[in-house]
Amino acid sequence: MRSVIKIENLYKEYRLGTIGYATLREDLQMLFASIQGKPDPNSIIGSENIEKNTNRILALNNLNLDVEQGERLAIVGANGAGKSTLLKVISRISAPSKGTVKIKGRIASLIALGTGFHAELTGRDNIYLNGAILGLRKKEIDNKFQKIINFAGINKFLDTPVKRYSSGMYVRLGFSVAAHLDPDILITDEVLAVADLEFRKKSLERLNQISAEGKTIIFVSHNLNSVKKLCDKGILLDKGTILLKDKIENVLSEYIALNKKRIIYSKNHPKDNHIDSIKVIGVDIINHNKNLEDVFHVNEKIGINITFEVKKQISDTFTEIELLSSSKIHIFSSIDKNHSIFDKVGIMSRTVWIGPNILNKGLYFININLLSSIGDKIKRFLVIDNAASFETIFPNNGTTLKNTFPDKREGLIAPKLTWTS
Amino acid sequence: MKNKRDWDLIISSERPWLALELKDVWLYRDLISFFVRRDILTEYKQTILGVLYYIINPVFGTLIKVLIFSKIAKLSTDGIPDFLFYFSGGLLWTYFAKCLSIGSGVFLSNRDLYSQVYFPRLSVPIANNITELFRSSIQIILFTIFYIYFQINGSNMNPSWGLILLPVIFLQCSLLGFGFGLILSSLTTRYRDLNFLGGYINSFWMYISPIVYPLSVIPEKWHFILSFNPMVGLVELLRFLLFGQSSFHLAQITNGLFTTILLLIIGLLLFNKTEKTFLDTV
Repeated sequence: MRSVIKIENLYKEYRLGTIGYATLREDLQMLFASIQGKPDPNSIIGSENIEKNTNRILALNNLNLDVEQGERLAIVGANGAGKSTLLKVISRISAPSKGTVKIKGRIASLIALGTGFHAELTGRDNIYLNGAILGLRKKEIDNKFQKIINFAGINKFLDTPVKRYSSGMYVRLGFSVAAHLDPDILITDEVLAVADLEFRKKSLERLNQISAEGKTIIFVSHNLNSVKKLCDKGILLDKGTILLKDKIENVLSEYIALNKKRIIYSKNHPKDNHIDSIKVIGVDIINHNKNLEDVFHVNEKIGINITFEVKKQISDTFTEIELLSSSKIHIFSSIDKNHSIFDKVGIMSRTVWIGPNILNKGLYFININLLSSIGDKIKRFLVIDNAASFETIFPNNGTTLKNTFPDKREGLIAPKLTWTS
Repeated sequence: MKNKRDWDLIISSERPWLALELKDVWLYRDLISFFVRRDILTEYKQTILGVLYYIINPVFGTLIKVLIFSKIAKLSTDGIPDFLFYFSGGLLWTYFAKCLSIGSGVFLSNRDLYSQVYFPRLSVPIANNITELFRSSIQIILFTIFYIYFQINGSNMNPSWGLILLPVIFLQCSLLGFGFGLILSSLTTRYRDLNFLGGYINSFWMYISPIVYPLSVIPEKWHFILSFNPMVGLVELLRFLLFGQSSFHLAQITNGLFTTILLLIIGLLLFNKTEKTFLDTV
């Protein structure tokens, strides 16, 4: 296959400390200070006379990548690994500091939906505006207009200002325009985060269809299950470089391995060998039918299926999951009390279910810990941060205009409680 | 290294000094027209008087100038009816000031749009300039009505055929405001102080331009220096063409043109340099 994106020795450097705060006043202070032979009063402490690079960061560090035509490539990495920066450079929003990106064919990037939408304009006007911002000519939009409104399902509200649209309708309209751009390369972010389930399915189908036409898709998401469903290949980014480009399963399990932290209890304690005995090889989020799922209604149960490879049988070892909010607040933990699960060598898995009507709408992360009893205490000996993530939304068909009752509740969780008199 | 033709687009850190992507701007010409449409359609949404503001604003602005500068301060208007004198100056100045503010706000006010998708960055300010031109043309029509009214009521004015130069005058106004605005905006992404200074620069510039006074009240010895202010030549030329009376001199145009081109080139160079990295600093 022909490569459609070729990235060679790409660097992106950001200056820390000066970003956005470089006022003339500070620069003048620095100037006066240097005249008097004093250090810059605004510098970060300790940064003077050390290497210039101490207050600089390389968001992309000598990155090389070939993307072939028709690939469905996921970009996976922790926060700050350079995912967004890479997207921005490829989609020409931000220029590289060094290196080149070569692109074959028309590229469209969907970093946000409904870019340029004006609240006062009607759906019709906004389709044209948004389409043009994304690079379509008026004629092209004319031709696709019917398809766009059919896909979004907003025919009735075409001449209503978008400020009266519900958030779901807004997203559907935005995605529909984007989905009909017919680019050769589609770069997309977590743009579907606010759409309802039915529309997400439709959108994923549309992306699959685009891909089946031989188009290339690059997808970035914190939601590893979305990535698993959409992409066949992935790259693992860390500190601005690519650690691995491989099949998506391998990339995700490598990502889990990257997040693994070993906690040593005490030197030479026999239990410290446990880390080598058990390996977490996969974490899947599943629905009640045991199918892979990335987004759930809050009234559905959510299964977290962890697959282990037991290399040497051990006892007294427990699995714990921690559920964290998108802002990394620890919501709850659950420990698997069955302590005999690791007493057979081989591959085995355990599933823990989060019941319906507990969680609020949002993005959730799962940490996985392995615990062991040492004396009369239970200690963690292995911690895997961000082993998996999923999203929850409120069931809402979204075909109506903004309803008066908010479909969002405050708080980390939204359990269904009973009110009595 | 592969042949350049194998690739449709090469993004690189190095780029020519003055890569304005005018070809891309042309490709996105529909976008420009949608921007103009959006700005005109949405400007007076949710106001009671709506488009009447296109008339109210310049008329009231001019009446205030008549009151302050003519009736109270008793400044000369070279014998031109004071209402038309201030209206004509205000017409050109408003357009210039709007172009200036478009240019100077280009990065900060479009940050969200620019950070979400690539399109030729110049298309936003170009569209804004066209919108302003539309607004100004409504004022020109309004001005013409008043002009005819005054003419019928016996004011002695000698309009010149040279008025067909009007588009050229507005074009230079636009380029000047735009060029200087781009200089300000490129510096503002780094130094926010200029946000506050901008207002002073604007009013200072207005007072060194013959908007609320005729150039004839300024001592002769200052005329040469003032001729490098392009607004001097443009306003005096406009009044000369409209009323057949002003201190217009050809040197004002040539010197003014020199300043305009200089500022425009500096502005575009800075814009080009800032454009690719401003999202890292804003």
